[in-house]
Amino acid sequence: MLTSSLPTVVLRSGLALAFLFPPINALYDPISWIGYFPGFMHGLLPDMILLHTFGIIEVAIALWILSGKHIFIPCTLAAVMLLAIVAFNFQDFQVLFRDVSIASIAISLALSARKAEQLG
Amino acid sequence: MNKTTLLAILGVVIFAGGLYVLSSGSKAAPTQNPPSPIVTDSTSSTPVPGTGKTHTINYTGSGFSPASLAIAMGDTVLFVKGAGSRDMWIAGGHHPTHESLDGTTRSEHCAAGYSGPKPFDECALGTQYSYTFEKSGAWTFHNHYSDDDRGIINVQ
Repeated sequence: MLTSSLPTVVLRSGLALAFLFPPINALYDPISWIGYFPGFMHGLLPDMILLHTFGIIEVAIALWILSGKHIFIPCTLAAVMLLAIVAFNFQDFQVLFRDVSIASIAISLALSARKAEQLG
Repeated sequence: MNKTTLLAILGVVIFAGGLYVLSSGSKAAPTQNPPSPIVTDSTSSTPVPGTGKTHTINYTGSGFSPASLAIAMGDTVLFVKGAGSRDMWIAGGHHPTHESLDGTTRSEHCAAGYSGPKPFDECALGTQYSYTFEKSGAWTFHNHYSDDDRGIINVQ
């Protein structure tokens, strides 16, 4: 299967890492990560609940991607989230430009997964 | 060169161009807290080097006010957290590394036992923070807790 080839496993692992590091690091340095949330999201929920709920979603996406099973959905979600982070924090593009590259990995994996599913 | 490759290259070029336009546009029209035109503190009409004046920047629910400030070397800026605003942690440079005026990063200058020059970094949440600018230049700052809220201080 396309999604279980070694290159794809490497890409899935790299993408999953991008979604595992933030929620884990947020346990030790939550203020840095809450800072990335756009202003309009502050106040919807208590900030730490917002942060760690988002973290749980990131972990779920990472584990789903690592599983290799029907990864079109989590890869698409990953791409959308990464591009949204860049869009809402464009003033930090000097730091966040790598998220665009990671999003392209997610898009590529999503397309590969869709192709694999169509081939059966 | 096949059609797919050509489309891919075209897509990258268009995307890069869009990023360039957005990047240029963001300098002219910041997203949430557009800096007001550079103003001097109301207590003096012309900055005088070495006078050590204190200028106040208030942090409210709308961000920093003023978001742009022109001061003289040796002046102090006092950041004050207002009622109803988000938690405040003033820091210079980019989020979250806070490269300071002296080149140190948050992990260095906020570390316990740091003995270097006082950084332009509050290093913790607070309600008031002051910093005396001894170097000329344009120094950006932001709220570490809400990176959307930013400003700039021009030290002359």
